[in-house]
Amino acid sequence: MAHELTDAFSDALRACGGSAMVVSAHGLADAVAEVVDQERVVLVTPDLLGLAESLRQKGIDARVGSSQHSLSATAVSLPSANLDEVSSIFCRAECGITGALLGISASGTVAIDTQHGNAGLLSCLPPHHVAILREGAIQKTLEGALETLAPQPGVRDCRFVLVTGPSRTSDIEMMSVLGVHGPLKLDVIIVREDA
Amino acid sequence: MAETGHRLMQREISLALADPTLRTALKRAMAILYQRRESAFASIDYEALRSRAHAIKEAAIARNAELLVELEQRVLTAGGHFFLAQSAEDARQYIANLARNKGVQLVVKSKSMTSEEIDVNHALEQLGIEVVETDLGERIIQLAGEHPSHLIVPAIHKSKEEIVQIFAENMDVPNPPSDAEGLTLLMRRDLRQRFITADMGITGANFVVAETGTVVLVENEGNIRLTTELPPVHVAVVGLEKIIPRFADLATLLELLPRSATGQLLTAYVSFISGVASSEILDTGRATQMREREFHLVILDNGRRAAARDPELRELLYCIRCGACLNACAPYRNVGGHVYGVHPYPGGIGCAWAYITSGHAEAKQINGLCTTCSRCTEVCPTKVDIPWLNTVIKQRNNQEFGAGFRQRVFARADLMGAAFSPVAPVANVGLRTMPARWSFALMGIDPEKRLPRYERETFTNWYRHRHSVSVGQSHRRVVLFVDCFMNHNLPQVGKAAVQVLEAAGVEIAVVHNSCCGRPAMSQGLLEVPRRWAQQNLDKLGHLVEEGYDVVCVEPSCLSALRDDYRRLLEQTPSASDPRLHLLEEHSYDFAEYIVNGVRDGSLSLRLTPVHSAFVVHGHCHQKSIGIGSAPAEALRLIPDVTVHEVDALCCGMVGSFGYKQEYSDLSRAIGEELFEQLRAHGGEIVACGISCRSQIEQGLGRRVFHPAEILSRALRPPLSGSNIGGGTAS
Repeated sequence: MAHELTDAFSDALRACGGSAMVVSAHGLADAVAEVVDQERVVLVTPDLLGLAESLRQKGIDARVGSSQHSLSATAVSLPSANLDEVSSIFCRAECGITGALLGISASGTVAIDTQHGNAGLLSCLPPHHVAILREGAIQKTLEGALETLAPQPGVRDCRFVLVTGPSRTSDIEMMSVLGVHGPLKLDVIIVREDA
Repeated sequence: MAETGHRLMQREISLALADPTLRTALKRAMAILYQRRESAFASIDYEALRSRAHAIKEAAIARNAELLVELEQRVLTAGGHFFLAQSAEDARQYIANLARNKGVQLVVKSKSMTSEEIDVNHALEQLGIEVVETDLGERIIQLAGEHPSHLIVPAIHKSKEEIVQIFAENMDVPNPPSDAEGLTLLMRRDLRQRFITADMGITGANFVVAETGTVVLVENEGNIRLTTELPPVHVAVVGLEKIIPRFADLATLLELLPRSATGQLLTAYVSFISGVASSEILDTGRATQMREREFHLVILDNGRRAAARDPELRELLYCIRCGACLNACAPYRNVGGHVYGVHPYPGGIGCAWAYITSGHAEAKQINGLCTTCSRCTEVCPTKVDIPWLNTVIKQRNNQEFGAGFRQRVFARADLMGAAFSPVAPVANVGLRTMPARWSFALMGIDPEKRLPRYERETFTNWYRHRHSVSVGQSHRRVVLFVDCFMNHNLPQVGKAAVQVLEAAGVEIAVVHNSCCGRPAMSQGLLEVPRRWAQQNLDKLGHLVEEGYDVVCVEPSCLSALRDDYRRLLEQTPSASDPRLHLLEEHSYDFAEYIVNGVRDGSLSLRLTPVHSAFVVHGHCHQKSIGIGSAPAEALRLIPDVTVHEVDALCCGMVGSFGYKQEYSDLSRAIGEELFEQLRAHGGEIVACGISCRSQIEQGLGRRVFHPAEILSRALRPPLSGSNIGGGTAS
């Protein structure tokens, strides 16, 4: 059943120009390293600190895309003193890596929490967005997903975005072009939990 | 004054029709959007979904006052600012003051028709603030100094070559790339810096949830995400009708909106913004590290609350601005959005928006462009009856500005028929003479278009004097609806229908001297059709109660009985008359009735094989009530026939539309798509409506037949004949 949803998710995502791959938890860093390949500056959200460290060990310049995050041994955070530099790193980043709250198999959609860790900008400014999705978080329908994502009573602010494929436009002669203001490329890495 | 209005409209239409770039661009875009939408809905229960959406919007509009209070509360609690703007001017002032107080120098904007409605760009520019549209199409239009021409694809009317030219002239790029990818990348780079440095971002919203204060924004490019995330101040300008009660309502609406707008299951991005966000990168060069950004929600009334209180206009507010109706609108598809004036909302829906937000005179200018063909009602995801809104507006305009002589003439097909049929040979010649044609021209009727010929022997005359035919053991009884045109212009269609129905074992009754009311209804003279509706409800309703079904040969009459009487009688005591529902349930199109009856075995037709080919054009009103294929299916009952259905949107004549001087060329242009398809297929042409028939006969010079005429030709001779049946109830 779970695999059926995963397959449907991957097909739907491919149909709208993104791509998906399924990996085990310990294969995650390798898989991400492969999709970011030659990209020079990679920013990750603070919750993926471990991943950033693994990527740096593989020689990829991965940094936590948040000046609020304290430095750790291997992951480099953005400098908090020079704000122009922060801005410039965001604009130079070639890839942004974020987690995903859930996936929707019917449309190949991932939900990204844009409230925390600059995930909104990380998933929109660089030309490449990689989203890490737990396989168990894939749901079938939009309706079910929105039930899960609905702001809880008493929560003051809550922001998320449903992402379905790369940024696109048909504004010029109805020709489909990818990568207008958001990413040109979207990879969803689905992490299969160990049985 | 009306005369000048007509001339202006005629000139606008001629200009649009003479612009080959526009025509090609529209044709391509419309075909793609229409087809994508169809496939997006292929695997989903569209009717159930849109009924739910209709109910959600209906409840939301009915409760708008309390939802406003709830929403304001939510936004304020979450640290946002809330402003209810009574008018466009109020909204402009609020945003301009805010920008002035914040020392804003650069505003980035995402595409929002509501912000076009309040013309906020102009107000900000007057303060010396630079306003940059960031949606690719909208930016192209802004650089060209134009207005958007489609709700979803604003630059739908521009060719790539024109866009290259616009970029070259306005973007400091001497030789812009000539491919869509290159042009898009150029715009990405150009706008990226502006997103980073902008002091304020202005967006619209697709939905706002009262219970959670959530603003929902649907898009593909990512510019809305950057507009809402980068600048320190975010202002959302939202029409009051976009407020929905519960978060749980969103799923239904979001299943419908992208599918209807662009044929996507979901757009690339749907942002849900509840509360005020904090974001770090925004601190670039500014005072503090981590700072709450400002969020302002401007809810725009501008005539909407008055419309919500108006039972006849209320449903306009169920519109979710998907633009699907435009893609199904024959006039729009041929001339594009600019013919509808500078008002931001084009098409039939645009006329209604203009009526409530800008003014009655403006709506009057474009009201006639809605032919009330009803094709848009099939694709509206919230079931807004756009043709009915246009009919109501026409009626109110008639009351406010006075109805023209031409309208009064077209309204009375029944009286014209009664006057001209008895003197048909003279009338037919007389109506073609120079003096007659001059008078037509003076009335604003295109003298080149031929009015249908009148017949001296009306259907009624024939029926009263004919020898009745035995139908044997009959268990189906039908009242054949004798419409004005069948009676006076096409009695042969009625005769054929009687022959076929009787051959199929149906006992026939006829109500003479009737009119469905459609001709007057489409002129916005609603008192006449209201009387007809009442009268038909009494006469036909009575027969239906006795077990009769009503059969119409003219689909426009059927759609009046089935759909419009409820609307016409809404505000009268008859609204609750149970016969109204009964009449709707028991009224059929001729072809539909035959096909259903043969399928369920209640009718049996003995037809001889006919080795002929037929090419069938379905009537708009057949398609809009879901029986578009009935005529072709009826023909396929004949053994050995070859039947091809063309899929042109509309014939373009649509009642009196094509006869009106200012729309005459547009009518021909619409017809051309149909003519092309008919030319490509041999065989006899079959169409049901009198206006389709006139349009095709005049445009192609080929004869057109009603399915009843074809079926009657294939009837086997009756086995015996005697003198039962053929009763008259009048």
